[in-house]
Amino acid sequence: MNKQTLLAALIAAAFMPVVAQADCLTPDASPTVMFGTYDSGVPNRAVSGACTIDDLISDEQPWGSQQAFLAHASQVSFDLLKQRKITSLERSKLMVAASQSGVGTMLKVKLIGFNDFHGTIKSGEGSSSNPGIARFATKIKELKAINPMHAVVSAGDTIGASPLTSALFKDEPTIEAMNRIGIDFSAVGNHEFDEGKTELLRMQKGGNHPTDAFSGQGLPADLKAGEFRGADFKFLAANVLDTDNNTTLFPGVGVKNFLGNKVAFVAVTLESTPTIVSPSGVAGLQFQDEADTANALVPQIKAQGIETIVVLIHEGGFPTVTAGNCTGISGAIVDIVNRLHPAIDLVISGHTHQAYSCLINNAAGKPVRVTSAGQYARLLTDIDVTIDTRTKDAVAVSAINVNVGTSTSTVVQDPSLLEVVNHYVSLSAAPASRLVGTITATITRTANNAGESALGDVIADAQLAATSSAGTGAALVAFMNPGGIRADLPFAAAGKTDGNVTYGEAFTVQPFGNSLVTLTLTGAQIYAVLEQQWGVAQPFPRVLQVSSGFTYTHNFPLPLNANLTAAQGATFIASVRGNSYVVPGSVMINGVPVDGATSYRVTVNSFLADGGDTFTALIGGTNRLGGAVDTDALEAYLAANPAGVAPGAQNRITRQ
Amino acid sequence: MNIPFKPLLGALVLVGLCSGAQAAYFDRVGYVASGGYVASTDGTFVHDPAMDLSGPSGDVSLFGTAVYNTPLSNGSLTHSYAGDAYLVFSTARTDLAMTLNQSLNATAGGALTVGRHRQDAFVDLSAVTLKIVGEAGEAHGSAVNVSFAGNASALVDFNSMVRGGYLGLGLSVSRANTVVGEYLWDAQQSGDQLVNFSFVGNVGEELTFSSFMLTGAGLEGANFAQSALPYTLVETGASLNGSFTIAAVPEPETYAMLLAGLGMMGAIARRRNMR
Repeated sequence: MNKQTLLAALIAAAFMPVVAQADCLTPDASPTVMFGTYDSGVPNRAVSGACTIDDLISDEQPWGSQQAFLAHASQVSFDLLKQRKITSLERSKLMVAASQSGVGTMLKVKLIGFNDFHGTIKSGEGSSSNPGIARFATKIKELKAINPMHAVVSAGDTIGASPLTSALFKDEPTIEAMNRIGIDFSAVGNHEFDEGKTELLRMQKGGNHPTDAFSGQGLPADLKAGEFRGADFKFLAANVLDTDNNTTLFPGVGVKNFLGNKVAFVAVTLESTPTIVSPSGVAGLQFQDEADTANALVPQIKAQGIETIVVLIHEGGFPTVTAGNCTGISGAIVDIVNRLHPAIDLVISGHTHQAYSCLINNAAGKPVRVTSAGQYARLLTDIDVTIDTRTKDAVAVSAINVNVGTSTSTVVQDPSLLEVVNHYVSLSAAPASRLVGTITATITRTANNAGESALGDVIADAQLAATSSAGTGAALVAFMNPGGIRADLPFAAAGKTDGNVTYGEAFTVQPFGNSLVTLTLTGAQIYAVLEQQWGVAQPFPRVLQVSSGFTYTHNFPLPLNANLTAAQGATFIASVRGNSYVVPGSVMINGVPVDGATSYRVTVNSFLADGGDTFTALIGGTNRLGGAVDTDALEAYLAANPAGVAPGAQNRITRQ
Repeated sequence: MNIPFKPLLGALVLVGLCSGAQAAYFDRVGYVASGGYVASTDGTFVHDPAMDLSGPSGDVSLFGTAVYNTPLSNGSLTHSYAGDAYLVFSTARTDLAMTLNQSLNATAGGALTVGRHRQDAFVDLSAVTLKIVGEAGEAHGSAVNVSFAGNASALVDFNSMVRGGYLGLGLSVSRANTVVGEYLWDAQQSGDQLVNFSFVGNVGEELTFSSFMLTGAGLEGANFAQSALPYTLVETGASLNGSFTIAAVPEPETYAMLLAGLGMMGAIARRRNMR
């Protein structure tokens, strides 16, 4: 039998006598009793204290089925009849209206979506545009208050690549804050795998990190048995298989029951996660096709009597017009949605950090709503799903992105979340404010049109300096992936003397905690690495930042000083990537051309050394020597330049 | 006498007391639900079947309601009904809710004569087959206590002009052709009644449940003087609410444990008194 406990409880509630109804502080003063927009014709009047008949009927509250509402209306009207407050004819009229109004046939469910939160719990950290989780929580609370039938869901990258306040504590602060907000499900994105499956499973199940002393520092209310509690919400990932036992690492589907109307959330992350995550982070895992995985689950979901199906996907698109109608939206999401089963009613996406609410055709050629809420808690997607309680299927989906605000906006900060943030800010204050060096001006990660940034130069130089001695690796050159540089180094900021660099700032630039690896490459392999910057597997060009003394020239045909437009991106995929653009003979170390057959010692971070960002040519590097953590290398470099490090000259890579 | 509370003995007693907790529930195997309304005024009929809103399995929902206005020379009759019946299943209990009401009003713009009017409404869960399903570990055929607890209300208000007014309701549970639990009320006046009965059933057996409500009234050769206000002729209604719960009959060994616990407490108390 179907265990319809919920419905039972609902009907039981309907049996409660009229006197048990809540006080009507603002009675419904409609002249006649209305059921939704249907007029019963029965004069409305106070029948129980200040409460009118219309108040007692409660047609505005969510009803899981028409039967549940009719049972309630029946009981309320019978009680009034018994008390002689209405006549038998009026009761009949009320019941005619209750049935004709259709109240209970449709149930509105509010889904609150977000993506790419990246541990931005502290207001203003990483960017003054980041509102922080306390404002984020207030907005979620406001949306929840509109409709008690709601779910809060994330499309991935909730944790990983986080700023210091969360990252220093292994992202436990973000999990604890999300627990306090009360979110329902989080898809895993690529960044959830930054520290590997064991650490990600710990995020779900709890327990302190085995070695990191910053783990388990939460407030008592957020801990369990004195240790990190883990996520109260469920991480979901239908297309991530643990090859040890051939089961999914996390459940693929989460279900939330709204008064007997169940909504299934199918979560998938991008199939190409292994190309953008440190290979050690995805060891033992297999990532499967997003659309095929979701489609294969549809029959199983429907077999459970669930007809409303939402896909949470950590993959996204690039709209041509922000907040427009998404004409010309491009990116991997388009092809995926084009292949989705028509039973899927909504797609909540992420990964591209874009904001959109678009209609993209599914496999049946019918438009399905696809949303994304930008990044870093700045937006929430407010989605209303209307479910026909008779078929249990979604009949309408509408979505808009709402602004959360910025670090300076007047949105009230939720005190409960502020408590968590302040706790960790205070714990991290000493390590974060520690002076690690000085700079002469703001050093940015903004690339010139050759693809080189001033901060890229500095970081590559720091990594070379840390590994150039005979004992540390005898490196001649260092390469740094641009995606690993997460922020600029500001000359001036609140709470520090101009020019000083704090540990917090250095950490925010390089939050991943990668260590350095020096390895031997032939000159030919160095050329191969450089051509992989626009290699066949790259989703967009990734120009490695190079150390002082290493120079080369390329003739790459698209701009490198800004993200590619949608059209340029399509050109890149179609006809640019996979070709050679490094000018032969232009690659030099200290002015001497790199020879194809000669061996060179090269330093990269552990992410690249394993072939991260599709730089697979680095996997061939031999004679590997492990080195310092990247932030320590930067700190040592700053210390070695007490007069202050200047922005890099951006003169190492030349565009022909 | 001062008996100190011994945790172990207390636990034994508690085990004994708790073992009678809910241990089985009803599953709906099949059902017949009907209901509706029939009225005729001087040979003009209306007939209105109730809607069966039940899902493919589980709960039973029956619903019907209508308001009719029948024009006559010099006036009209307004008559109506609203009835519903719900059986809602969960593993904790099975809830029954039924209501039915009926009205008749006459409007006389001038001298109004009604030759013959008759109206009858009913809701009826006439044959719901219920199976007693045991919880995990509950053996097929083991005895369970099935009990129903609820209440019934009746509103009976017939104008003296009305002929043949009635209101009745009831429910019964049968094993094959034998009634094992029942409640009937031929309501002659307004009031409330508690509805309680219980019987012993067996895990796995199928029982037949039925419940009904019906009400009717009529006019014969009724004459009404002109009146600005309508005549209220029939105001009836009934409701029946309650729940079935199924509890395990305590096993002999459980009784033994309960008695042993009590006995030991008594013995200790006695020994203390002897000191």
